[in-house]
Amino acid sequence: MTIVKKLYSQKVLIILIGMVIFASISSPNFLNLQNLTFLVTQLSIFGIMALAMTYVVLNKEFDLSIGAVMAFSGIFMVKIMPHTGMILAIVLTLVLGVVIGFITGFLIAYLGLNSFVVTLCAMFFYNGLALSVSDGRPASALDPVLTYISSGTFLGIPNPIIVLIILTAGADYILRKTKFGRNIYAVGGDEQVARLTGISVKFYKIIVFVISSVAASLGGILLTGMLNSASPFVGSDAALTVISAVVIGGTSLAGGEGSIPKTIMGLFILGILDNLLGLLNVHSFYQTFILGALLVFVIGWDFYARSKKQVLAAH
Amino acid sequence: METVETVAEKRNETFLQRVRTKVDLGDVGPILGLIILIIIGSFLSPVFLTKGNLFNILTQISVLGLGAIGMTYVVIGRFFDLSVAGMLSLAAVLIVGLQPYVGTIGAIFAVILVALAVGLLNGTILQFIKGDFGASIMITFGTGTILASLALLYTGGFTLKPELDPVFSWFGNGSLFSIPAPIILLIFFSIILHVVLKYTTFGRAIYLTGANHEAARLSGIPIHRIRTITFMIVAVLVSIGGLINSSQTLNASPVAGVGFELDVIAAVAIGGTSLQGGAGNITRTLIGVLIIGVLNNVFVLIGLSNYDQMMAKGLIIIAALLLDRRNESNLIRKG
Repeated sequence: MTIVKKLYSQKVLIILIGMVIFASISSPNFLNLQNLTFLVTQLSIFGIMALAMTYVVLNKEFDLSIGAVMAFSGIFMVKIMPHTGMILAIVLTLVLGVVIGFITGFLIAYLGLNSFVVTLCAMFFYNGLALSVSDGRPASALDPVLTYISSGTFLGIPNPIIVLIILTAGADYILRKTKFGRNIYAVGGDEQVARLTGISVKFYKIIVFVISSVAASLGGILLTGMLNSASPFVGSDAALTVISAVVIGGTSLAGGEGSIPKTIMGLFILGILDNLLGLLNVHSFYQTFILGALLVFVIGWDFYARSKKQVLAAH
Repeated sequence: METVETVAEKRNETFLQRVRTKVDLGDVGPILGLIILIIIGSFLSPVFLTKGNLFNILTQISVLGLGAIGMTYVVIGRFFDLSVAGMLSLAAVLIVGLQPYVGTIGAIFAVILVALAVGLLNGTILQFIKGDFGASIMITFGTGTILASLALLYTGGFTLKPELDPVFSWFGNGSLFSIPAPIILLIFFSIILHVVLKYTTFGRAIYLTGANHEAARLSGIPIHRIRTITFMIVAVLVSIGGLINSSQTLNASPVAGVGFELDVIAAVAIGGTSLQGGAGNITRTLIGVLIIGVLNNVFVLIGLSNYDQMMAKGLIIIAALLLDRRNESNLIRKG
């Protein structure tokens, strides 16, 4: 019984291992170094955003605007680059992320609007802005610094992977070992209790959206470097994929429950699925279908398990 | 039960107070906004207030209107349905795709059956997992993604060309008593939904479910069944919208519904139906729909690009939500 319970508590890890085994059996190309490096590099941008989204979801909120913020950040950076130079352009783009996150967070924390609707509106606003600024055309960006940051390697490891590893370690440390991290759990767990304990709930609500938007801006910078151009059309599937990764990993949408390692596992489950479907030549429409079905199943499972737990607690 | 005192108090109310209690202030704002927009429009262009242009506006908002009045039911029940966008795309391509095999009438019936199944699926999943408002958003987000991908899979990503038989053409371009068919359909369904919401037990039950589902459950209302029926209603209305859309544009695009959910939220929120559930009505939503229609028309008159329109819409919904919030806090202060 205890073994079953232990296995059940590690179900995400078991699914991940199962998928790796299945993938390496069904496609001989899966387990070679080149494909794995490609896989992780592909995941790095959504991975960075998923780390930030974990903070948002732990706080019992959503952020649907990350894809649009990512697209707009890329366009913004390319447009200001000729005037400011590369380094300053990158810094200003990250500042832009802070400002966008602050506005979103302010609307949600201080004016009490639903985060889902606000970020949906923000998504349309920044998408429109990106399209309007770029005239609906991709803008090319060739710069040695930018190319090194996103496509260069350090000790043979691609830089985006290094960024992802550093940020993962940092995000995990902050969440587990600092007062700031504990307070994020507290606010998501029970807002009322957190407020009575003296935690400034509004501050944390704003800060998680700032983190999420900055991560999206960083994603936009890296993506622009990888593609050597900024397109207003990127990122339409970012929110869906990133929230799916967070939830599949086992971070609860009800807030206050989850962790960074869980998100990373969820991210890899999605990434391997995507990679495998690509290796097996499955059409992208089917991939969307599978993603949607997976999302319904995982969220359904999350809520179902919780309602069971509540019933058990009541008796 | 009214005591003698309260009756006496009522008599002593001034005329103004009586008007104020009769007319909810929340209703006045959107109507005022609509009137101002119409005045602006008529200043901007001499053709704005012609019969042709007004019919044009109403025809353009009919698909949105059908979705929004259905969504009003779901929102009053304190749930939300984001799968409407996927449903619109799927209905648009299914009707045209099935036309050669079962005829237009058969295709319409088949699509309505699909819509009923989709609504039933949404409702049943949420009943099974005992979902709340947040769950309804995420689950319908997922089912909407599935429906959108099904629409793309069905056509392979291509746009389909319909067969133009009279029945199919009527929905988009026909007319009755010299009023365009889409407007007739919107008015017809609005009246039915309004009457059902206002004068039937079912309608009352939706309000109670949204206002306090625990109280509703304890008083014997089958809250899950009620919410499932609201999901089925919105899906059917959206699929009729998909039919109108295909007939109007003379093609069936598998991405016809992309962004539709935002317009629907906008219409419901601007009209003043609270996302908190338990309040709102069809007239309010129709005013919200009209505001969006007139706004789109004004945007075109002043020459805003599509991209600027996206930005403006995002801002306007946020503004409407802020106004809505202020109304609510006023009510609490009054209460």
